[in-house]
Amino acid sequence: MTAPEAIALPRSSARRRGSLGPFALAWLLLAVFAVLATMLGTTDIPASAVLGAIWNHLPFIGGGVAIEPGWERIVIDVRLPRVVTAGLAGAALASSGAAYQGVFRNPLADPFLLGVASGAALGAALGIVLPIPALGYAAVPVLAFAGAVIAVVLAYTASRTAAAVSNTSLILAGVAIAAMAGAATSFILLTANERALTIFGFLFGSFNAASWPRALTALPYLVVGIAVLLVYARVLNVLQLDEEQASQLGVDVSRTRFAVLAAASLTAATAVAMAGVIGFVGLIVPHVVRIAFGVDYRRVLPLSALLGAAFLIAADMLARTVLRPQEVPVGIVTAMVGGPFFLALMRSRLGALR
Amino acid sequence: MTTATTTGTLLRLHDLEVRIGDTTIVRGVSLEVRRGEVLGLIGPNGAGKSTLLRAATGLLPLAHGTVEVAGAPLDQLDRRARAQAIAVVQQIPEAPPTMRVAELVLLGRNPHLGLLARESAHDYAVTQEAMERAGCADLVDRMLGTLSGGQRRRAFIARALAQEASLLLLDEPTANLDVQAQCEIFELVRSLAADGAGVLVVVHDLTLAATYCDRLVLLAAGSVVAEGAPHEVVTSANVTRVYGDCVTVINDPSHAAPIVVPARAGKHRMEASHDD
Repeated sequence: MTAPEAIALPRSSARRRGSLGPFALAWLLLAVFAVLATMLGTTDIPASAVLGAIWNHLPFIGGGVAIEPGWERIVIDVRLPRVVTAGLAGAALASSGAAYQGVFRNPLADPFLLGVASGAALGAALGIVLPIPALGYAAVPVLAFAGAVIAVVLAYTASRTAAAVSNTSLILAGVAIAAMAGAATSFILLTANERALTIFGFLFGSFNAASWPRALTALPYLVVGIAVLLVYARVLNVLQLDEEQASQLGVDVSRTRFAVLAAASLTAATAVAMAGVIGFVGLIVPHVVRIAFGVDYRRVLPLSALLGAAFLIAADMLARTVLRPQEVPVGIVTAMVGGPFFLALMRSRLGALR
Repeated sequence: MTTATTTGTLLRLHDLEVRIGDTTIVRGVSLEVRRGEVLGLIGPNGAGKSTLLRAATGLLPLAHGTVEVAGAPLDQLDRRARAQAIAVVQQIPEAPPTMRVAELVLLGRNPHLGLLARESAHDYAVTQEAMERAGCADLVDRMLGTLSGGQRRRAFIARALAQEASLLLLDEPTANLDVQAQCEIFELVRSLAADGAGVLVVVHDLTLAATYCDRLVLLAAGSVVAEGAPHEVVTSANVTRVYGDCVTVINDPSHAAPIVVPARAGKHRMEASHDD
């Protein structure tokens, strides 16, 4: 994944890399938090047992490590699917946030800019209050996903004129769609009585319902979405200039924007369907990556995915453990922990520029 | 130019008309940029200079006329082929302030790279050469936000050079620069032309244009008013006709090109003893 270093990333970047490349560092962080998050819970399990249980379940080569059977079941059936789901959602939200910021050349853009979150929330609220026997327990994720996709498609088509889609009209259309979906969700909340709490749970995000089948269902969408984003990473660099310059450098701006927005929205919609609306990850992780490792999207996108995964796994670990046995919605943790961290990083960056 | 053959003509605009909405911005403009020459496009604000430049790169639809790049009609070239043939430096090009010079210049290789391609050693070599040529090789690792106006211009010119296009379109490359930086940028432009590039440059400063360009095209209200060598175009008659009588053209024997200075109405004749 690392770009050739010849001249594009000279001295200071080489220094920044140090002995440990940013990718090695990101993978290491991800691995550490994944193991830690699997160890901690209502019962704490030692790292050796966690690693042993994972080894035992590796296909073809694994097996043979003796572990307390109760622990093995907790690791494999309860904690690991949750950690994997949190990691997938974090990777999805952070990489799609980076892509949205790149397409709109706006540091405030996040994966929910075009209505993914409000569309998903409305879908989920409908899934919670309406009896849809055909969908069973899948009603919430399926309708959330559909709501997110419908919201983005509406925003995109509403802002499209014969000539092109402009960034401003896209954002405005997204705001309008989000306001309508939000109003509808509020109405459902007001009339939902005891089910309102479940809806609130979705609005703050949680990995309570994580399971292997759910994670595996989401996986193909995430793989396709993130792969498309990575393909467009170099072109996103060109798009950081204005559209006219990008076009004069041979970029088909409309096609690029469509492809990147479609892939990023698919990725974000999948994450929201898996875990509800988790704010902040898609906004801050890409900025942290840019501050630490530069603005090249061939680094920003994959590093955002890795560090987004690590961050959300850590946030979920805190959500499960700070008030245990009670659980805090993970969206609250991402904002409460991520916010101060981000502000501190931003301050030190401002100081360095002065 | 000894032989003005078809291969020597890098850009040919023929009877160009450009409309934006219902307004005709450019009307009946024909011009040619040849290999090795610097053609200056001059004229007052709103004369259609930038519009002409944008139309020449295919960013604006033509109401009438044709654009040919190195003998090929522009509309037969796809986006990447266009960007391999024409490099543009806009008047106020945007770029993230934290982008590094080397990263910006490398973007000039985009026309030569497919969607899945990655820069080869050759692309890095071309980028390095472009930075050296444009005089910004010492700035590789600097962030754009920390550069002076002149350095920034050099970085964008280096990006244009990295495209390896033989035709350069520069929109006001010296706007907001001090006089030394203006001269340095134009010396660079001259040396690029000497190396075989064709340059079409929009210039506001008539003295600067007359000093550094081989030929000038004077545009007013979307049409060509005068065309030819600097001393043929920058004359009292042409300049007064287009800019009004608030300017004076001085032909000083100590300066090779005409000098254009502002002059307050009723006072300018007293000092302008050199005027013809």
